[in-house]
Amino acid sequence: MLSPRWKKLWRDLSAARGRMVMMVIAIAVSIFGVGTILSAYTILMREISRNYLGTSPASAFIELNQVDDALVQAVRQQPGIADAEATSRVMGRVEVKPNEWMPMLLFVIPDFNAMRLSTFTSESGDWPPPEQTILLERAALPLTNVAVGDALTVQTPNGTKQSIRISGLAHDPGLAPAWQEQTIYAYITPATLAWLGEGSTLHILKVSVKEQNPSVGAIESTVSRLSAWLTGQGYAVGEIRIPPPGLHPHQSQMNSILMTLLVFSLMALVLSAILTATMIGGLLAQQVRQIGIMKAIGARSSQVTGMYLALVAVLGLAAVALGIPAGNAAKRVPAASTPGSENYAGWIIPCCWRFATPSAAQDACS
Amino acid sequence: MIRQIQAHFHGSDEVLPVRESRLIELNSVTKAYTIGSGQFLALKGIDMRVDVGEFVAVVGKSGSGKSTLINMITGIDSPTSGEVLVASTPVHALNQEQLAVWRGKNVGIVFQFFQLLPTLTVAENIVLPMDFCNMYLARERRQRAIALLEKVGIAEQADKLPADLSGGQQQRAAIARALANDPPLLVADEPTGNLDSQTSDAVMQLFSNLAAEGKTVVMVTHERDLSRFFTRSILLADGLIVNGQAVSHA
Repeated sequence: MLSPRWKKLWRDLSAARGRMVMMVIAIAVSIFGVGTILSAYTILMREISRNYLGTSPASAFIELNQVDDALVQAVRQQPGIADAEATSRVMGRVEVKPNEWMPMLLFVIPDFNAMRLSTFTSESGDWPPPEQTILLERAALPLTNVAVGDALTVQTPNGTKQSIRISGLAHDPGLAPAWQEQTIYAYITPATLAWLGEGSTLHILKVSVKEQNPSVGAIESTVSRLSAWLTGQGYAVGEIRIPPPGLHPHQSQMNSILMTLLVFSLMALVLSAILTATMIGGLLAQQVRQIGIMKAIGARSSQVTGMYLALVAVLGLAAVALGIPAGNAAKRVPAASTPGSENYAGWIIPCCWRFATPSAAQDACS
Repeated sequence: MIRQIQAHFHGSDEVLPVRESRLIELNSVTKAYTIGSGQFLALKGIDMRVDVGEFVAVVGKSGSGKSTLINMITGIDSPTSGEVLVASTPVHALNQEQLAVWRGKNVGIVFQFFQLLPTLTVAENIVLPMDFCNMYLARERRQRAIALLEKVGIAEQADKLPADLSGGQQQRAAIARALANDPPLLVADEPTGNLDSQTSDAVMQLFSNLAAEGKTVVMVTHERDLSRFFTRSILLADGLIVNGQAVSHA
């Protein structure tokens, strides 16, 4: 049986149940916010990094007038170079609604089954894509308003409009989700590129350096030597792009956004703490006389303090019991839908992302 | 009896040498409060003795120091200087935690406005001091509360909330609560100040009976027509005792 002091506390709690419920909800919401963001932050940072490194990202992309198999073989023998591969990128456009076009970045892959640098995997459909068909990055499909098996109208800079069938989906963890960049990512063979009206010659040399965990400076040094050698071999070296080593291209933006959300959720937690302190202070102010009476009839300060600390603990535990499972559940929703992908962040940050990316800023300003 | 009281105060069978009948002794007690215009002396060197079984009235005008005096005796407030001894316990030297324990076991306090906790039933209000002071076995406490309510004549109100009782019933419940831990000393601050005359007489008779049973009762009051109940009146004026004569019941 409860002793009278705990009965008193329980009845005081019941008498102010409206305020207590509000207090519990305020704390629970802030715990939910912080819990969700922290969980998402932890998982995203882990998964993005793991998935990105799993693609064997290239250390550098060197644009040349042409890249053939013989050159690739020769480059692999150069000092400091671990591996090399040929590829091409073509920026075209795709009709997503009648007379409404979106940018389309076409990645040209000579051999889908022999990729070793900046790899991606088949998500569904054909692999490799048959000639005159296209693979879409899975996050790009919703932007096209069609399904796998349907045809898209595509145009490259030197080609005419062509209807091309989507033969499957790919998952490329090295890219930002299409909705973030508002760009359709697609993968084709050199033969399909030629059919679209571009030459079948490849222009980009992907290389990785031998050094483990290289710095940008180390990569620059190796690639500069390679560039000089290429020039000496008669190749015209254009742009050389060195992505931040070991980091997903959007890692820093993701970090910034998650940190912003974390700060906001921590602010919510602090505000709920202030609200709770104010409400407990108000409750205690109402109880001053009763506390005095209890001390007059023999209650020690530690007993009175224990009673009110127990009250705060009960409220805190109730809030934690509500907030933590809710935060945990919210964390699991994206994991269930898109496991192991940076697209995983999609549910939590789309709005923030739209204002964080340059293209979105342009949209907002236009 | 004195030996029992001393054992009660000190929580052991050890008995300190005191005068046989003395329960309360105040020596040169002063109390100063700092107010806006300087220091205000509420008590100016009070010397006072109360013996076991006395029913003492502390009377005087508002601001004369009555409540301050009984706050010294109960340890609710501490003197600026002087000694307060209750059954030879130096109350003035106890810290807050010691005072709480000492007060809970040795002093029953009755307030003018009853001060029962509103969310507890009458019986629970009486069990509360036993709970705080860990007195009596938990399973015996309610039984004791009911016995005390029978003693003050409101046993049938045991499971009601204080708000459901009349003023007189609430004051009886407050007296029962003051008796919860069987203290040798009862201190009451104008306990009839909020009651009609008929109820006041009944409550005073209750105190008188308790004094007759051996309890020592010190009561602050304004009401001169209750003097027939007291064994002695102490008149305070401007922080000084001006008269501490035994009451003649002739």
